[in-house]
Amino acid sequence: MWIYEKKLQYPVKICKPDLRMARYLLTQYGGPDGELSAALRYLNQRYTIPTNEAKALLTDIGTEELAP
Amino acid sequence: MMHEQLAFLRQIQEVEFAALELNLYLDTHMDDQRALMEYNQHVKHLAMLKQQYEMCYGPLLNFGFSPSQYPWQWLQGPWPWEQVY
Amino acid sequence: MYHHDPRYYKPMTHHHGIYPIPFMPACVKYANAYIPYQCYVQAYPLPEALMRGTLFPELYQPYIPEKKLKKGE
Repeated sequence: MWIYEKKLQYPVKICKPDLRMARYLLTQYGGPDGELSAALRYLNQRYTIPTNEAKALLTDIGTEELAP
Repeated sequence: MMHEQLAFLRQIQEVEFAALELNLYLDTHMDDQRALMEYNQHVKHLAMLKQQYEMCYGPLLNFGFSPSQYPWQWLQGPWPWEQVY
Repeated sequence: MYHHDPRYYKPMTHHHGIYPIPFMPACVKYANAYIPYQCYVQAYPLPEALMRGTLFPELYQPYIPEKKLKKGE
């Protein structure tokens, strides 16, 4: 169901390396309450949600969470 | 990447983000005509920008969604995460 | 009270002509969770929207630590 584009959604600027911040971000991204698990949760919940509105919303938000 | 290309890319990112936001809004407000109209305007604008961009700088999509010049352009760097913006 | 009587309570339903849909359901019930309905009035200019992370001013809610909030006032 997915294709990818050879561009970022947002122009990321990294001004200086920051190890402590990197650790926070890593947890935010891949941790149990992070983007990745949220994305997969949305994308799994859409299979059992009853209405078309909710199916669309969960698919769209799940995709959006997943995409860099 | 030259300044010109980056500015072009930024414009695409701006329009695409607006379209995405309106898309999510419309998912819960399906009868909002003004939002829909604005969404459609962004879609049209975005298609034009991307076509122009791809002609100048190579394909944004693969898997059959964008044509390529010779030789196969998909492999050309820098990849999005390697670029300094 | 009449509008708190669950027999008369009607949840916010989805009309096809969406307007008017209230910001909150007409008769809210205690111990129920609701999400206020977004009303789209104005959008940020596109470059600003990308930088703020939302197109909608009503959804721009950056996190500001309490310390900074006090200092700013």
